[in-house]
Amino acid sequence: MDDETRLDLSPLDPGADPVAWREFLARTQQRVDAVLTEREGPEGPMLVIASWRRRLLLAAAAALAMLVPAEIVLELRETRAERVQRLVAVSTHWGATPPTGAEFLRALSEQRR
Amino acid sequence: MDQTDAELVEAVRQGSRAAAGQLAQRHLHGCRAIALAIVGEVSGADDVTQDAFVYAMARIDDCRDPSRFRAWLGQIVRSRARNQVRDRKDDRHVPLEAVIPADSRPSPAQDAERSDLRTRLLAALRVLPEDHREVVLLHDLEGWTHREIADHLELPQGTVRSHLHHARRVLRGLLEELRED
Repeated sequence: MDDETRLDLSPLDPGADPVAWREFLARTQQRVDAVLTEREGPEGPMLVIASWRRRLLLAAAAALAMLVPAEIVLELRETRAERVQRLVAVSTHWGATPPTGAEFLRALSEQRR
Repeated sequence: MDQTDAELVEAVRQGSRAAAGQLAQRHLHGCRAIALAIVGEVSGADDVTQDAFVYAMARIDDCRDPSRFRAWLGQIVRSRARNQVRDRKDDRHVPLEAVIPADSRPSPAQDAERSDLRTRLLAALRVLPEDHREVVLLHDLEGWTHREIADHLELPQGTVRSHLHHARRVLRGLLEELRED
């Protein structure tokens, strides 16, 4: 027999005694079950809240995704409307006489305030 | 189709006992060979194997790469086996032989023969360096490939082949001597 041939180590094989090996696996499983139960822990109120945290965060993100663009559009509309209103107010201020550039700027800044 | 180790690890993280059972079925044999190579005796190796597996399940979240679960578990087994060699006093485990009903065991003659062979093999294995023992047990007992052993022991495949060759030569010689005695 040369050194390239597999040695017969079967006397060390735990599977050679299947009953013993099954018992061993069963006892291991019992210990694992106990550990996994311990790992889960009791479901207290904090854990319930924690389990909802992800869903709440997703809902908040979705709401923000809808509200932010709407807010931007409203903001733009408002600004445009304000600008028109200001020009109307400035132009009615002088009646028929056209204002100088300085008067126009002053009137604009007053309106802004 | 069989689930991969990564899938089973994920299932254990979700609390699946069945997945833990499948991982045990799949890997405890190999773990036991690693433990036996280091501890050098059967009941101690059983003890280490079981403790290491239970420990791994309790800390399954620490397994950073679930696809390499076997390597991770193997490291736990090695570490615990070395601890046991250092401190042989730890003896919470009931040896495998102690819990088997007498009627399901092999006959006393078979038992004695098997036990004798086992004793001789273990005595011969003790002569080898630890990494040679691990290589020969994983290859010739567990059927791991050179590549798998190289990966597990972080050794080049050539070194694994050389360890295996050396271990077989020494073991054959020793077993012959022990048989003659």
